[in-house]
Amino acid sequence: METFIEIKPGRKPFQRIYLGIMLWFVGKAIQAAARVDNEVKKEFKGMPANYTFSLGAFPNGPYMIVGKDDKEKVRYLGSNISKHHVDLEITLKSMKNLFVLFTFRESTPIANSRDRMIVNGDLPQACAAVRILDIVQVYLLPKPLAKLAIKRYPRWSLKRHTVDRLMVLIRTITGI
Amino acid sequence: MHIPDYYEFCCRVNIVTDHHALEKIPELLLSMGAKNPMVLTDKGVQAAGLIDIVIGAIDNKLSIKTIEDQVPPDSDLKIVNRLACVYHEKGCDAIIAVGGGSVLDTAKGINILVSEQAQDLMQFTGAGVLKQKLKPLIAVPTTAGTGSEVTSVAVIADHEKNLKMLFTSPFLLPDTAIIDPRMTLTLPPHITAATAMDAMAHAVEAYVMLSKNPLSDAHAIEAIKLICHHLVRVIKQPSDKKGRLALATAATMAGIAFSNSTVGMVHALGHSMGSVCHLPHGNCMAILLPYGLEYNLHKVEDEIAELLLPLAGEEIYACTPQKNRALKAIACIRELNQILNKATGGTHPICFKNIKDKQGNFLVTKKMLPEIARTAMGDGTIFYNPEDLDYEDCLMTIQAAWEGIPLDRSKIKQG
Amino acid sequence: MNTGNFTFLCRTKTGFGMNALEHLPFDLSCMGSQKPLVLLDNNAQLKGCAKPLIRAFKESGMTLGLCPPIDGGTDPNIDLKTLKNFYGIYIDKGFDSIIALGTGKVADMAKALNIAVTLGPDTLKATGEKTQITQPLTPFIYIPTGMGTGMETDKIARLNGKTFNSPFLAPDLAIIDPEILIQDTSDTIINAGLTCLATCCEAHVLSDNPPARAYCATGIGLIIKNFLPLVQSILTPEVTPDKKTTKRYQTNLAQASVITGIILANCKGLLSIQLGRHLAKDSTATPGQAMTILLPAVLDLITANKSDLGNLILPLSGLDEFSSVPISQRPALAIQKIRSLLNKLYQICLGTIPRTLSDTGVDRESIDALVQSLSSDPPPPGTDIKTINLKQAKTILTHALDGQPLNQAYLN
Ligand SMILES: [Fe+2]
Repeated sequence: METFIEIKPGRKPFQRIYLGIMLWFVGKAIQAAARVDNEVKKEFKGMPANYTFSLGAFPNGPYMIVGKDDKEKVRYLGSNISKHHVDLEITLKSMKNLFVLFTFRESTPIANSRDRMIVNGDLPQACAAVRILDIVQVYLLPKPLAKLAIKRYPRWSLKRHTVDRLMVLIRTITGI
Repeated sequence: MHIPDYYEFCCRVNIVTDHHALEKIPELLLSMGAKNPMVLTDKGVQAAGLIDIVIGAIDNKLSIKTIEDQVPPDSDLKIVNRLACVYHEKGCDAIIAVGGGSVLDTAKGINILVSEQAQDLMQFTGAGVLKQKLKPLIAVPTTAGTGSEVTSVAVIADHEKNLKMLFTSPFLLPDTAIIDPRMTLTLPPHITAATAMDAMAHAVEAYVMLSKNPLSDAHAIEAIKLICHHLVRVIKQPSDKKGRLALATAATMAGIAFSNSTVGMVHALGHSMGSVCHLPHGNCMAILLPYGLEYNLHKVEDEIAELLLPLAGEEIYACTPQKNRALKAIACIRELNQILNKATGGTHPICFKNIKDKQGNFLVTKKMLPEIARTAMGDGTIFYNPEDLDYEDCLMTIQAAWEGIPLDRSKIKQG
Repeated sequence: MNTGNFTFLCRTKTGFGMNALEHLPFDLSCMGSQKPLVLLDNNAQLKGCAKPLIRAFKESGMTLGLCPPIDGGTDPNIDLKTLKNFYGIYIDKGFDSIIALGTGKVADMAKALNIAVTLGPDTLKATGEKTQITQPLTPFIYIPTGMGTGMETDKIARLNGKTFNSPFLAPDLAIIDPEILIQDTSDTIINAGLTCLATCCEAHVLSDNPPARAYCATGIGLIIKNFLPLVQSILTPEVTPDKKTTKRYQTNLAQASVITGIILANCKGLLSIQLGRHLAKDSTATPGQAMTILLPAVLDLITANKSDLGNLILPLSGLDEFSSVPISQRPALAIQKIRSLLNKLYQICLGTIPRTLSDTGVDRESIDALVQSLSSDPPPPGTDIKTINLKQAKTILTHALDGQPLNQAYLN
């Protein structure tokens, strides 16, 4: 007869690294888009002063945090959730769920409608945050991928698709 | 049958539907080990004499410690805190909530405080914060519309800080929902129509939104069938007890459907209509429902087409070609609104521009529409809508609903 | 389209489909649990079902206890020594929830363990029907590895002849994840699928209970779309569809099985179920087969309102057929649909399953003895089962003999 065994939770190092990079990229891109894109600017303007929001996985991340500083400037605030007060948390119920999301096998609205996501915070801001994430995805991803990630691919001006996109990408990578 | 790749379904509420369901309250509470309930309600329910019926049904089998009728139309943190103190002071061990959405929200708020022995509700906001069963809570809905007797959410407003606290947890589900036709028997026709159309909107939206699943679908279909079969008869014959029971059951079924699927843009627009112009929720739902369906038609045509069967019956369904069924279903809802309008002597509205208050002033003016559209963009239900909505889309939809003309579908952006 | 007086309660939250297991750590934490103990049977162990479960707990920070597998064999009795052993492990190591990984006996064991760890082991010694369970027990999660008996999600716990009955005994959470499902044998699937069909059809027709009807309609829909294709794919491997499709059939049928338990907990005294179980005791037919053989006669005999019977066409055949068939023809067609399904199954199984009572070896002369044996077999105490009307039983058995219609006049 076999005996009772206790199994300590394992880790998923590959997914953690991959998601760390993706979240860093998205965080930096939000910061960049907030400088370049008028719609993103407007969404952030509607949020209260010093407002911060995070995207991550239950229970131990990884996370990314974005927020406005005292001077209303939007900043990527890193990945350590314990260091910041977060007003709005968007959390996937497991790291695998976040991984599926960031490998574009499930879009944000679909993950949300399949009960894979929990949102803690004020609803108007949550709506704004999701719209910001949508716009950033359109900037970062090639059209076929972006179409999988969002509900309706927007009809943007040529400038927004070319010049603005280039600016967002440059600012994301250089961090300016 | 649409089966999504993943879905969850949960309704832990014991649903007790009976022409004498109220009489079962003592036995139900005693089986949960409680016998000193607080009865919670609002002034309107109290004035309608419904509490007397409830007390009469309980008939000294429980020792009711207090009857509180101070619940405002919009749940309020201060009231919740005060009533939680009363609960402790009077030695209550359960709550019987008799009323609509606000009474239920307040009851859920009180139940959190008294079960967790806490002072501050703020620490329990958000999803999944509550970890264990709360004290017994029995819900007695009096409107046959909101479905809040079967939802796991509570919204409580902190009017001082001007914010709305949202609580989500399966532990917020009442233990029992008592569906008794005596609670809705005296509702006047126009309110019966409005609340039933709210339930209709719950069921229809649950059926077409992104989170639909086979179980929520089946609940939604049962609800729509019941409403279509009984609503007009009850409006014409308000004392029809069987019909009242059926409508109340339908509202609960629709509540189960949407709390396990979700509502979408009809509610997003309706909520903001309500908060900007203070219109009754059910009226907004009745007017907006066809527009919400029209807006999403290109994404969910098959689903809307399937709704034609419960809405119009098998004969019409069978004799309508597949490609026309969705539009026909939308037309059926408009037609139902027309019938209700006639049956209520014109009090059931069919477009926003005609709604007047008692003094004869228009409640919704064209100038308010932009603000309504802006508010709607901050409503969480918008995410479950099959098609995306931006500010212009919201504005276009409510403009059409204001005029009472069908949506110009060629203007809908399809990505 | 009336609703009568009814009550409905399903305490089980269900999660169906892809990556369902991934939600388990979150759901456990929502129930205040941090350290679950897993019970499984040797079949689940052999097929490696624990692996996807362990994988789902990676990065969750939760430690998992894995009990030695129990014997899932045909003996319905639970080994009390094993139960005692599990109780010791649970208490000693500080577990705070129970996961049943597997079907049938594992779920029974988990329910018994749940009573023991929450209310104390002495509770199990008392007679079942006297034990009132009025409070929630320890969080209990049911993860089927196949179709099961349909009783796992019921509110009844069986312990070696004793039954405990409380809504709190139903699992708090049932998770159906295609990753953890193993290929059942065709016998298991046929028995489980037919049990589900009979349960859902009879409850749909007989109950004035809209929530129950909603569950039934879903269950029937799942069976109609997935049952025959899955059986066929097992028995005729040369036409087996791709792996993904087979998995989809399995997942959907496991959903149907979960729904069966929920219906059984809410709809009392389903005649085809009771008679079928009794009949299967000394017969070549399995309970599920017996139930479906009896189902047409049961429906025909006891539906007072024939339009309720006709409404069965909607879940059985879909919107278009339902709406195009005249009301008067629907009841007969509904019954024919059920018979056709059984006949089709007979063909797929190359005649190895019975279509009628006489196919199981019962003849006209033995019916009286069968009815007599019913009266000497009272329903077990603690269950909600009603005593069967013997005259009714005789009519049903007689007409199920050759599967002929009870009467030709459906128009009343
Ligand atoms: Fe509503």
